[in-house]
Amino acid sequence: MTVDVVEAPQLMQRTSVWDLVRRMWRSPSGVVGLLIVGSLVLISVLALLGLTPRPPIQADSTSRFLPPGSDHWFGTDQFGRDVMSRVMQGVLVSMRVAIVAVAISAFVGSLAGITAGFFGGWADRVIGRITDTLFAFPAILLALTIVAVLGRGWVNTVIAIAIVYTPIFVRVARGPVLSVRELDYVKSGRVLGYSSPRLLFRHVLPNVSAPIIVQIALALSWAILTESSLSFLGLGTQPPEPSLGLMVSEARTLFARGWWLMVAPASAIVLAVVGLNLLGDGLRDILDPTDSHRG
Amino acid sequence: MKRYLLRRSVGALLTLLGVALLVFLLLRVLPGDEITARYGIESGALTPDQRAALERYYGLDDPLVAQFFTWLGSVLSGNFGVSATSGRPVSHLIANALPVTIELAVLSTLIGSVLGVAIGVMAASRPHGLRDTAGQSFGLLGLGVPNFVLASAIIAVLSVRFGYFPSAAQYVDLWDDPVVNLQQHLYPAITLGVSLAATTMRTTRSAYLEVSSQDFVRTAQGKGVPPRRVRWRHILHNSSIPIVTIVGIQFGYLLGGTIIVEEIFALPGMGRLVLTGLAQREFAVVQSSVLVVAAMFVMVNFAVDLIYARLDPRVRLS
Repeated sequence: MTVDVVEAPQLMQRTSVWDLVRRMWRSPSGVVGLLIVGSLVLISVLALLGLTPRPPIQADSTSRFLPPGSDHWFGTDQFGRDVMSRVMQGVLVSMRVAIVAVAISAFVGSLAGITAGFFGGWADRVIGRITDTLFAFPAILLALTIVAVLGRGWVNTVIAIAIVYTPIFVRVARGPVLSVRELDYVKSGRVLGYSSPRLLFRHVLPNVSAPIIVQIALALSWAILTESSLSFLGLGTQPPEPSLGLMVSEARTLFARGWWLMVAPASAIVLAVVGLNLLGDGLRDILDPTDSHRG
Repeated sequence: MKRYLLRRSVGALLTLLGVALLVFLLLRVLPGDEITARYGIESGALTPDQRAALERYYGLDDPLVAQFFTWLGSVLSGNFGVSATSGRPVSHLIANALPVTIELAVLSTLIGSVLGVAIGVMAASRPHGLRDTAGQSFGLLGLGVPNFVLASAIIAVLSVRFGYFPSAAQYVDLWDDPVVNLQQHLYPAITLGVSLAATTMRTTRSAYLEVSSQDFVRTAQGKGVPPRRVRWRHILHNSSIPIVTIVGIQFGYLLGGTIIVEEIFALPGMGRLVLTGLAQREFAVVQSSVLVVAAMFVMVNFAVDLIYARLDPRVRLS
């Protein structure tokens, strides 16, 4: 028989932002992740401001299939459009979908998870049942079906991804709440007559936020994966608006004419996914003291 | 164990019921019904009487709850409806597509687990060394490169170098010609196997590291057991529970994850069935295929839980 060990709550010590940055700097994966994600954000901002080398949808029949060079850094595609500008715009589109979708799922999921964990009883049972049902679908299949029901386009992609990833946040938030709500300071808060919302948001939430923050970074990487997969299948962002997934899809048949058509968007996707994963690992290292000793 | 089995079975059944309900509701949200699907724009010309008669015929005038249970009843008796495009029963289409997907999932799992365990042990046997860095980089890249990117890259290279482009019309059944069939499954299985290997590698590495710091390993080393034997028999053997679990979970995900890869390599499996169903707006096909895949996913996860509980008594006691 094993002896029951009361799990140590993942308490976040009161640390300054500066302290966190310093600790992040010591985690190699965190630094690399931060750099990659930072440059992708910068690229998105540039694309948002219209500061791409050329307009992403401007065709030019005189300069089709130009290889990468000083004029077009990433070459041009079958319509003579500048691939670098299209990749920049594609990164913006992916980031926009991922950020909005993860913001929705993190908010709804954490709220539902904290409610379920804190109040228990029928709320926990109902939320748990819905979560289990959503978990019973392979993620991409559920996203596909939802997009098929709602119709194509980026807003519906956001809704589909948000629905798929909400249950993950429910689980991530619920677990730690279960142990935190039994702690003395929450119990004494209750005795002092604090209202449930006050207990939840002032006392419970700050102490379960670490795993949620880590999960946000990981969910962003999955969201980018899912968005590009849906676009690849022609269900996400619609042409002529550039999207990384669609660019890879089109490049399959054009590979003999221009390898750069596939390499450029594919590298952007891989960089985004790897960067966010590394950032998630780094955040876990600095936010979660119980996990930091692992190699 | 009996109580645990009962509790988990009830849970799995409830989840399956929820899955069926969700799939049913998703398709009720859609604009249009069987009548518009059957008669297209001509359905607009139906008189109210004709429409009412058709609604009665298709059972659309029943309350939603009754419709759900009628549908569930026919699904449970194997009646999935008829595909309008091909004129064949959906159950036949699924019976043809399911073995393709299962074969692909099994092959990918084989490739992924062998590769993942080997790289994981290699990486963990000398932590923070060169091999570890190489192994960890593989893990990171394997997770970072999406299936469709890897698959597209493979297709691109195959088509340029060998002029090969996959086509669904040329698909050969496993029993007709195993060699050609395995050739057709090879690249999709490698594509899926790589991402599976990455996850398996990470789990293997951390489980291996955790076990290798335990006393019995030092004892074995101390009494002169050859390092190779310590590595495989003592350490890996005792770190098998999380590895088995993660492989099982991944197998479940593969049932859905094959969708894109099947599409790219033109394998006529469940994924392609769903995608062509969506493209042709054949909701009987989509509905049933999604239901079948989700049901299998639930059952695989249930099986993994049972294996896990059997291997580790702490799970069923908690």
